[in-house]
Amino acid sequence: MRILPRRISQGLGTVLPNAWLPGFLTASLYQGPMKSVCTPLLNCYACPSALLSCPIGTLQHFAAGGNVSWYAVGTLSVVGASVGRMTCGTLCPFGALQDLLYKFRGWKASLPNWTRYLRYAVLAGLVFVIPYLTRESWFSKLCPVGTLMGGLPWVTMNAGVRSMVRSLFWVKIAILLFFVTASTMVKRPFCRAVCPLGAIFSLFNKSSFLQLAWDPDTCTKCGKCQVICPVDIRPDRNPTDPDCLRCLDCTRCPSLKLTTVFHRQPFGGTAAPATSARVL
Amino acid sequence: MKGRPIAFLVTAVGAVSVLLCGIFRKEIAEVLINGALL
Repeated sequence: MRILPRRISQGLGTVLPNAWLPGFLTASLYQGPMKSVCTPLLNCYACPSALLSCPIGTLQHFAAGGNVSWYAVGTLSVVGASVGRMTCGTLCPFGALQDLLYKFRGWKASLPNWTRYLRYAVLAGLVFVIPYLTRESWFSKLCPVGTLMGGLPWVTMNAGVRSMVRSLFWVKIAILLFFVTASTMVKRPFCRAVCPLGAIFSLFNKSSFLQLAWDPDTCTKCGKCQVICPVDIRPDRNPTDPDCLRCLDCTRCPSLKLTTVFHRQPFGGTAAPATSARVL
Repeated sequence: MKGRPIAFLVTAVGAVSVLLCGIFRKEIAEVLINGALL
């Protein structure tokens, strides 16, 4: 069985930001200096083993206080300008879980095209506007990643937390179960339709340093790139798709290649880049 | 295509500027406290 290199990076993206194992042993949060760093992943900072802070939780915390976290926005912008959505495709723990769940055999479906715009509404509404108006971090209250990595471990480990369980917790469980079930049928439903971090990174896909290049001279339009794509897009149809996770699975095809924004002839052609190779 | 390197440079400079703005506003301390005392 062939293991994709990004399965290894996804494993590291899951283990390394959550390497504070004493958190599980002592039922306590890590409170050291690394918590001041916003991870470029949707990784819950309420997880007992979390070493880094969640950027979406940080943005909400500042929005609830009537401010904008320039530090979190800047961190995400630097990562986005460097690699676009690559962290979603190669590191994100919840993305990795959805990738694995889709491998279950059974009925498969595709996501309607309009759902890709929902994540921008989630970003604007649940991360900025509603926290600003209500002074509460509403995305974190409903986030399935938070339920999986923070809520469930704490309810399991701590009797005090267990006694505080109310109806909102069961709503969170229902949301988590919905996305777990949907992930067995649809490719990465949470990343494509809901994830506010993906919404931020997708704004940088067109102008990031790392780019994906497509060679129309060798492409046979067979469509296999869409079959292996974890978000069901066709690189040859929409070269700058904001949904592209830069997971590089499609670079197994010789017509697709990782390049940089300054490398305009990645396939070694001599014609103008607009006709010989288009940058994704 | 020709505008893409310029777009990247503008984005990168803007991103670093926003990050430095956040650092100079001493937001790191608040991020640390928020992350540590959930």
